[in-house]
Amino acid sequence: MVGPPLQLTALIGLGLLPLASCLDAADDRARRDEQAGQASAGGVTVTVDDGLAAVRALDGAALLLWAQAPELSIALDRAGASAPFDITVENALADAELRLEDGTAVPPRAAEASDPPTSKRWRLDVLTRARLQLRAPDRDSREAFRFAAYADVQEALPRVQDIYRRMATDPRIRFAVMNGDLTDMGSIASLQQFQREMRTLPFPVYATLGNHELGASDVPFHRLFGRGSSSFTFRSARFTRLDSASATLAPAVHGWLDDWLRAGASSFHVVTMHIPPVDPIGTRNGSFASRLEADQLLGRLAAFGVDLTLYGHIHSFYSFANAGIPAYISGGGGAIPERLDGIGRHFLTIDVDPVSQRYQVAIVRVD
Amino acid sequence: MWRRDRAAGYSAAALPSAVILAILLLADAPVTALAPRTSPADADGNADANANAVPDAGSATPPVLRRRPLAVAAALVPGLLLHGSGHFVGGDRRTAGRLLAAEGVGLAAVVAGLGGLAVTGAARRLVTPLVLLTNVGAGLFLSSAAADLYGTLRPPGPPGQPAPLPTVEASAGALFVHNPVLQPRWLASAGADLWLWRWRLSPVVHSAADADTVRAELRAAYRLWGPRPDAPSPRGDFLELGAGVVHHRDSQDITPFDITTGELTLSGRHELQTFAPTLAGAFLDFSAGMAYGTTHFGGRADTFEPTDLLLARFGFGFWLGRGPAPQAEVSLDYDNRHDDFAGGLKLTGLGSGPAGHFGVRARFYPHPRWGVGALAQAGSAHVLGLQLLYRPAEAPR
Repeated sequence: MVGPPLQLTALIGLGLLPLASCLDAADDRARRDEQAGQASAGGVTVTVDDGLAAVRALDGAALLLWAQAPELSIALDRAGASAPFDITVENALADAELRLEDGTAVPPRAAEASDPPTSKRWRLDVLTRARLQLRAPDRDSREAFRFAAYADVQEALPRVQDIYRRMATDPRIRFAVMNGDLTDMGSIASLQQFQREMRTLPFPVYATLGNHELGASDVPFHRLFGRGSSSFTFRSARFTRLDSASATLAPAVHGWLDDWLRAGASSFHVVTMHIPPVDPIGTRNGSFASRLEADQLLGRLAAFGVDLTLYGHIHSFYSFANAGIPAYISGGGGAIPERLDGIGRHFLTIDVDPVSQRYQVAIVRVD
Repeated sequence: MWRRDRAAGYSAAALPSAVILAILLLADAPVTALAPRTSPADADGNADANANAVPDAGSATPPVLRRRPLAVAAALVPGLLLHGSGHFVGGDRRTAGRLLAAEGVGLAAVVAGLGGLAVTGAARRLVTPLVLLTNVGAGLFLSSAAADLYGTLRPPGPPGQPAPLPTVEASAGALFVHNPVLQPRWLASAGADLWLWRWRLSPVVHSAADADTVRAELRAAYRLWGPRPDAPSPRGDFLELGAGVVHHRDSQDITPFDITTGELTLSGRHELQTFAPTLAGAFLDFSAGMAYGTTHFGGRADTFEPTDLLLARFGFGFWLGRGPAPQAEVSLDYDNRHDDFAGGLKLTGLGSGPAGHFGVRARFYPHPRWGVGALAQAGSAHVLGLQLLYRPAEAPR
């Protein structure tokens, strides 16, 4: 029979078991990423290459996508098609064009009065199978362009228009990257509200999730926005967004990242995520749970020539280097700010010259 | 009804662990016979508050609680919420009250720390004391629960005592690290504790067979007070100042990196028999300090970058056995380090990242010179370790 000392030891040991089962905290979200951009309903099958859009609605007559990249490649299969097919892409570039594989432009439909500039509509003729390309008209331009970066709106969502009004005054911003913590707890209602607030912007926002999107048990982010980890190219610059909301990357994401790093090795490459691998204030550890994982990831980014890393999570502004790569933490979306840091709500603008692969970062203060 | 929730990332470990816990707690019939009550009364006829815990007849050993199965069950429910419930059901209301007070203090410290972090936005100028306060509070909170469980489960008879400290102790063994993101690793481990008067030198090295992963630690400590090889004591309380250097090198991946830190710590151990007689044989460990250093990235990066880390560790443990052998020491601990093999806790939900890792350590000497040590840690990785321990025979003093 087990004596009391061994009972106590076993008690202690067994008490650790629940803690020991959290190593796969991010795996389920990676599995959802794999399913993003694919749907089948009403005799229609749609696949968005690389999962760069969320299929928000699909039936035999219409498709609604939420774009997570300036350009999309969409495979459409309509068995027994006998009527036109309406395609709506929300969160698109205001001047985005939809073309068939042979380059033929799909005529746009007139916008409805309530449509924001980033909601685009097209009507497709009767086609049983088509490969469509959502294109930016300036995709072949090698001139410098500007994008914005922000994060950590959270409970300040009702006041986010202060930031968006300021953003909207800059006609050069082509799109924005939102590095997580869109909402306070990640509920469907709050994420939908975030998307409604975005309608005042003249450009799209490509978001990844932060730890606050994990507040709801079923994590509805993927249903509304799409992939948490993805990569796209715009004007030969590569943008990679990673889901680090659990202070780690899922093993599957590391596999994808290798491919994206190789694809971006010879171009200007920006990597963004919510929780940074390392916190410049080490005692705070607002960063990856494991510094060994963090250093291995940073070493890999450096090896493939990543040019810039952007983060959120910490509600302030930091400029530092990680593995020699310039890094910026911009968490000024309105969540409880870091005190005594001399900065309030803000966002960043980044001007990129894809030819020289040079860039310039500027802070735009809202408060 | 418990439900497997894959989205949350939890496995089914919690349910069978609870079932096994219940079996262990109930399979203890011979030890739970109630002893007759022999409490003295004061002039007003009130029984000594601690006398409901019955002393063993015929020895100066600490008392054991009455109604042990119920006391053990109470230490779990509602004891994990109301610390001291086990002692309360077992008749030791004074200790129950003190454990509840300790829980309250710990909880208040955690609330103050986390609240301060929330209100200040984890401000860089205030974060260190607030994180330390949170760690201390959590340590007190968890230790009061563990103490209540220990007090209900401690067997009758003389409590365990620390073994006399040897001048030299060596260890050699293996470590297995399972991290789903990094390569799983088997590492060989070796270490020693070397004493000279109040000074202790403790080198430790872990290395993979291909030496792609090496972690070397060298620590020196000055014992301010407490037992030493040249000044043995039956008590285990001690306080010491420590300094150390840790070097961790990893060259498995495309960019090799190494982390080198220097650290200063204040560490100690407090025996709990002064807190409550039923807790004889148990102790609290604590350690706090800072580490500063650099991370060096090789390869294309070729850069050094500063790193720093708040060091905080607390543990609850107990001894089994008296004298050099057979004797064992078991402790459950929390360590705030994020730069070691275990790393910090990955949690589902909002809180992943800042917390460190939990672990269980055990050392058992069945023989005066030879022993075994075991380690299990859960953080970003599962770490399991097994060691052979050796302490040479020493001339009598």
